[in-house]
Amino acid sequence: MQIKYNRDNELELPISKDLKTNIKVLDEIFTDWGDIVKKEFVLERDEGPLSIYIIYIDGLTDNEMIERTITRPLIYEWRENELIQAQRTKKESEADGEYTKNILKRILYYQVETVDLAEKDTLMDSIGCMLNGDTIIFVDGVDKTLVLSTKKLPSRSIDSPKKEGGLKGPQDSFNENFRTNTALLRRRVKDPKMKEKQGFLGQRSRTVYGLMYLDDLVKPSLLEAIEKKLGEFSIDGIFDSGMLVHLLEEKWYSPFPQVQTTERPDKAASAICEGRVVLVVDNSPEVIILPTTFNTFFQAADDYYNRFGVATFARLLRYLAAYITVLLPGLYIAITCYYPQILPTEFLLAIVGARSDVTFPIVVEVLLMELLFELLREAGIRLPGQMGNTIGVVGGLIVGTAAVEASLVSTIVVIVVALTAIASFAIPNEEFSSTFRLLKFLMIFLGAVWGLYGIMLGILAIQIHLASLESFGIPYMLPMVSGSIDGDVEYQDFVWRKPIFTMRERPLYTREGQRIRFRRVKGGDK
Amino acid sequence: MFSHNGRISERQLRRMLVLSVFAGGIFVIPHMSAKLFETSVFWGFCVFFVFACIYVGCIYKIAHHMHFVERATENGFTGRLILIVQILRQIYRLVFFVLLSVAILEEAQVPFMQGKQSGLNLLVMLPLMLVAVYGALSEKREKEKQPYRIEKQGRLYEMIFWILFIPFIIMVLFGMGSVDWQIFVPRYDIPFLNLFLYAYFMLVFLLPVENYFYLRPCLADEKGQKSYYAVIATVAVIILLSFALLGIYGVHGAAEEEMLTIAIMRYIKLPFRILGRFDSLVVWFFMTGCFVLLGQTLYFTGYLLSALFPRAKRFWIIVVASALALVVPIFLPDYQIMLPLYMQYGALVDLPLSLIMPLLLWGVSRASKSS
Repeated sequence: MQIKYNRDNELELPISKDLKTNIKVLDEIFTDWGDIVKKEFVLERDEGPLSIYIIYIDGLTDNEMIERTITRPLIYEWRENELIQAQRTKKESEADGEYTKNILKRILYYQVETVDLAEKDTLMDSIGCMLNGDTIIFVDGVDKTLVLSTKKLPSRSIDSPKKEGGLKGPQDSFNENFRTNTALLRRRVKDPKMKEKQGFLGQRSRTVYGLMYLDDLVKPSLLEAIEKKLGEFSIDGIFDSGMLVHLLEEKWYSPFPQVQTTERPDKAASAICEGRVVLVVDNSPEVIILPTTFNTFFQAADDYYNRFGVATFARLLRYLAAYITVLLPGLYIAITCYYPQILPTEFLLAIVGARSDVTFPIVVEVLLMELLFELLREAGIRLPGQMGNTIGVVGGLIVGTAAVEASLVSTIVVIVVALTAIASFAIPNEEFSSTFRLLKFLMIFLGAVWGLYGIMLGILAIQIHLASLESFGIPYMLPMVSGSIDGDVEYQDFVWRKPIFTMRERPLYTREGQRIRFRRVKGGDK
Repeated sequence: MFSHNGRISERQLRRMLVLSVFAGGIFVIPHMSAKLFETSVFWGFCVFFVFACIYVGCIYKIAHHMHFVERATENGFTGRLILIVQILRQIYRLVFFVLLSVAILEEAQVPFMQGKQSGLNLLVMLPLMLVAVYGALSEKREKEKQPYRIEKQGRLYEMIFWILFIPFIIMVLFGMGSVDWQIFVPRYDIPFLNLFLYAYFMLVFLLPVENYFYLRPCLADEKGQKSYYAVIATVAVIILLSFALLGIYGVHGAAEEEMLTIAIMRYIKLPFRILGRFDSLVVWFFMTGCFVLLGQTLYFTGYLLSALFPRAKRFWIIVVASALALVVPIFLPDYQIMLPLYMQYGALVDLPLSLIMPLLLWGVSRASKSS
């Protein structure tokens, strides 16, 4: 038998009433599948045998559960009377299609000891569920299947956040298991209005995704736009939320991430409570938050657990860190090469003294050290934990000192590059920080070619670019731009993080009429 | 979602106007006021301020009654003729701003520009013009008869607003210690008629206010009047800063110094010996000023050209307009010679046309409607 798939890699075969035909099709589909477990039961009864066929994938399922809730009840606890009744009903109601309903109903209610089950009408849907770890039951004479949720996918336990650590607040993070991730969000937002719209992406990977949002807070237009965007492409596989991020972004060429990813459930839950949508993708330890702005990348989860003064100071430092990361090396080059006169004489003499033995031009010096730093960083990521740390120490101390002693670079340049590196790590989001590190090289180039004039050109070009960016209809630079549209509410959580009790309104993402999130209760009575 | 609606907020409109007025005025007005009013600068500024209030008020009054481009495109040949005149005026202004930018960058000691070779200088202007083109470009057409991607423009100028203002105000504050307060003592030793004539000439530098005609239809909430007061306040700030600059440099010295705003920075010292000199660092401020002038003029030139040639690709319109603005100055005399010519042209042609053209359009439109 030749099995044919359509353009979207989907089977268009119906489920046959004849079990033998179904088995034949399945055998053909799952040829050379070593991890498939299939079993045909023939249940003897007065009216004749009734065949049932169970199929699942070993490794993705909970075998014990299958044994306990499906196989054992079917074989040993078969309620013969009910089946005889069903057989009688078959003759009477076959014409009006009642038979199928009755036989499945009886299996559902009497034989299978689980509540997490569903009926599927098509072979493709059934196989799709099976590939996600469910068990499929085919019944002879019925053109539907029973899908029993028996998933037990291999996954690691919940770990602490690796990239978005904080001293305060919860220390759990998402992992690769879709259901664990949705459960972590459900655990935090116990509101029946939190929906989870599920679908799958990738013709071959059939990666499950879930859009999680609060039904009364999310703007319908936002949800519509996200769903439209998700339906706009067809791809072989989605193996991480990072892949999806690139498909969701409006401007693919922009160095700035236009959607935010997080590994912290508390951050994602907080976004949901602001009327944003969280996109959970199976096999990904990070969820996507939509929409996002430039400012949200500077917000760390523990900002809201710390006192507002501390949080504000931390944010100020992060913004400063971003500017240092992008501008410091370029400015150093521009000032020392083109405008040394603006430096105080003593400082200028110190620079000249430090550079007296260095043979390379300043640009080469800076580039050399910056590339060394990037190499060390890349090597540190690829190497396992302890070795990565060693590389950092070896690179930072030994190579840096050796480079200065060998007169390859001056001490001032080492300070500049080290300060830039430290600043880049102060930005809470790694992807965002990488953008600044990339732009740093642009500024080095512009500073070397045109001095401060070039740096300013670069800043203007970046600002123009940022002004044109949007994330699902929200200006990327909110609240620096368009903040006045909602009466400057967005400024409450900008560089200055106001005390929680003064942040009365939800941000602009929220649906109109649902903006109040904090109110005083008189006399403490709700 | 509130984006993609072809509208800007009142704050965005205000900042767009304020930036262009400030950038257009602050580089020239201090020097020109010293040159024209000499010791009667106090009374000169008073008359200039009154004229500015009247002129800006007229622009606002007329703009409240019409959507300029919509009316122009509706009124056939006359409308198109008015559009052409407006475009030519914008292009001429753009050319002058290119010359002004070259002069500013030369004075602000941008590398490679000390040679005063105009060909080379224009080459150095190229990256700035490219950035201005990038700023003026749009990616897709939003709404008919609305400026393209006006939201992007609004956001951009909303962002760079403080970059232009903060450094300038800081450096003037640091220079306050050197101000000769005698400058504020009113003196009157200029012929009465000249006082009014020169004040009128100075209005030429407020011509970017005219952009209000094109911006107002894009306003999300048309009731606001804040931008009028913001523009007037900007004129007042320019006057105050000019006073401070004249107080530091002296009226006669300022009359001799073409780029007073930049030259003054050499005398300002930052406390705590943070920097040896301040002037080169504020190239940021000067650059932003040049960008605002070039970017906005280019944007509105492109907007008007697109209205005139609706089928033409906006990208090419902007590229051609910017290329023209870069090439034409090569054949023109230097800024120092062009400035008086530009003021004469502005006072005799540009300024009257900025009011006559919309009034004419309004009249034609009413006549065609009644017929």
